[in-house]
Amino acid sequence: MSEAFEKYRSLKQRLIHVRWIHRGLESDEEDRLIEDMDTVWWQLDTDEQDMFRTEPPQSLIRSDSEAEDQEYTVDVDVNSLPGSSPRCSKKVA
Amino acid sequence: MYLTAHRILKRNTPKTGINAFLHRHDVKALPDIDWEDPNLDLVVNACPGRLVEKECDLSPGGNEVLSYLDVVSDDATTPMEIQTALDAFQNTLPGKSLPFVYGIGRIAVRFGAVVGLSGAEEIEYKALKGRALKLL
Repeated sequence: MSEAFEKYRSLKQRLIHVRWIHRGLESDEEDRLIEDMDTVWWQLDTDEQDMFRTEPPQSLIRSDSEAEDQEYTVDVDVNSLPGSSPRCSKKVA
Repeated sequence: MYLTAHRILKRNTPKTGINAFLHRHDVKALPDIDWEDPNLDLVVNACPGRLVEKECDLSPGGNEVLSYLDVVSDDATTPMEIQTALDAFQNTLPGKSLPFVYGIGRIAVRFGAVVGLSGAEEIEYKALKGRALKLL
């Protein structure tokens, strides 16, 4: 595989990561990554482009339409609650 | 020793960051903990120990946890041993479902994340690992 192929894969993984951090909301970092991916895309040969086109979808789809989690984990202020666990689970009301 | 780093999201805001904490258990023996094969859940949930170091991007308390890295071991474990264990954990991570728990000798490691990280687990793991190791 070409250097551009590896770079595109790396950018794609970073895009998944950035969207995951921002829970599907748009961000400046995402915009920059998409611009970079667009540039690198045209450095790929047609076989390489086809490989990305036919890959199964990962987590690139926004999660706006997904149902809210029924349970989530929150952090605990261990400064004011010494000896407590740093995380606990909470139910969505 | 309980070393942890987690990525948090301030709910209903776009603010995210990583908070890291180092706890020690001191010389006083805790009878339920076998430090040769530590029970990670027991230490994390019931006996996290005494907080000795921290580095926080956001004020802790009430933030949603997006990912976490837990490391539990005897207080005498050296930073180099921890680093080696975390590197070994990273090498075994590809393809594993989360949370992934792995025992390396007397060091227990766990990495977990909320859904949606598929394909980018290693990026997140490295970020948490780097922040946790800074506390040693």
